[in-house]
Amino acid sequence: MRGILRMIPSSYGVATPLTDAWIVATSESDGTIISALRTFEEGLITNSFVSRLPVIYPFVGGNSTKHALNFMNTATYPLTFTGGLTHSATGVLPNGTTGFANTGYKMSNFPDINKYSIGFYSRTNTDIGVDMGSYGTSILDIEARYSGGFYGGDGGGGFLMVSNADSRGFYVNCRTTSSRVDLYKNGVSVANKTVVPGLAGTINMYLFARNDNGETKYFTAREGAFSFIGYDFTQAEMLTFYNLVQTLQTSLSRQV
Amino acid sequence: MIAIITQEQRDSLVGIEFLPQTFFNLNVQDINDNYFIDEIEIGQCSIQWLKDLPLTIYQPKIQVNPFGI
Repeated sequence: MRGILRMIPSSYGVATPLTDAWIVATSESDGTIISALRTFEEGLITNSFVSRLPVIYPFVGGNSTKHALNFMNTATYPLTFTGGLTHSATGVLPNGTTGFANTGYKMSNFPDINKYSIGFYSRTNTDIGVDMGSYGTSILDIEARYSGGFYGGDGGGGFLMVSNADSRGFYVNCRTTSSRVDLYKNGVSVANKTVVPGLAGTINMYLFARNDNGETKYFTAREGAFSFIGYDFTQAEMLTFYNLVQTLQTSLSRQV
Repeated sequence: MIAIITQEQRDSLVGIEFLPQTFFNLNVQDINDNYFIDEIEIGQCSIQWLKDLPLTIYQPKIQVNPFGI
């Protein structure tokens, strides 16, 4: 393992301990994947994003063992997969009927219930299903495209919606204050709403479906190539983060 | 494509880890309230009797927009 780490250094000599830990956890030896992760981590460090991203699922490595791991801390919030999911080099493709993943993360885990974000990188254009989220005390989710709209639960009891003709891309639902939520597509805010303060739900967030008080509903067939759970980001930071994620996808030849 | 399974068959599968970090749940029913298993799960697992089940087209229950508009 030490040999692998020496052979594939960070491009600028910056320490990338998260990538090192991920390699140890997965025994990954693919130089393209390791280089892409190091560059991504350097971007997180340079922009001071690391401490605001408790959970990232990069979906690299092509199998359920590697896809389950949280890049930010391989010991926390591993995904538990259920049902029909196909793992490949391009990500995780759910079957739209039974396949989903449990993150183990709840809204109540956010240190500040009015400063959070969740995101999903979709490689598929379909018009139904929820990509990630939970609905208990409150609704927090991402529906990249449902009946022609990009929807997001607002962390209270309501939602935001904006027309969307193509569900491919990087979707983010971000709350920055007790009264504002934005929906982002590819790093740009496409909707915002004045909302009531967030409510700390205690339902685990799912990927590829929504956890509705313990019942799995609204399965999607959109392939996921990245997902994260984080804290608040400014609009400028969100564009920077999108560029980091898109560079990662491009390095792996799976960008949309 | 899916294979229809009985309640007893479903109960015998729930919770089994058929891939690393991947489990059977099988709590979804089709439009006729039948439990079923998806062909992807059948292909990934090593349970032979599942592979012998006949496959049929999946007919989902009507799904409504979660926000009702």
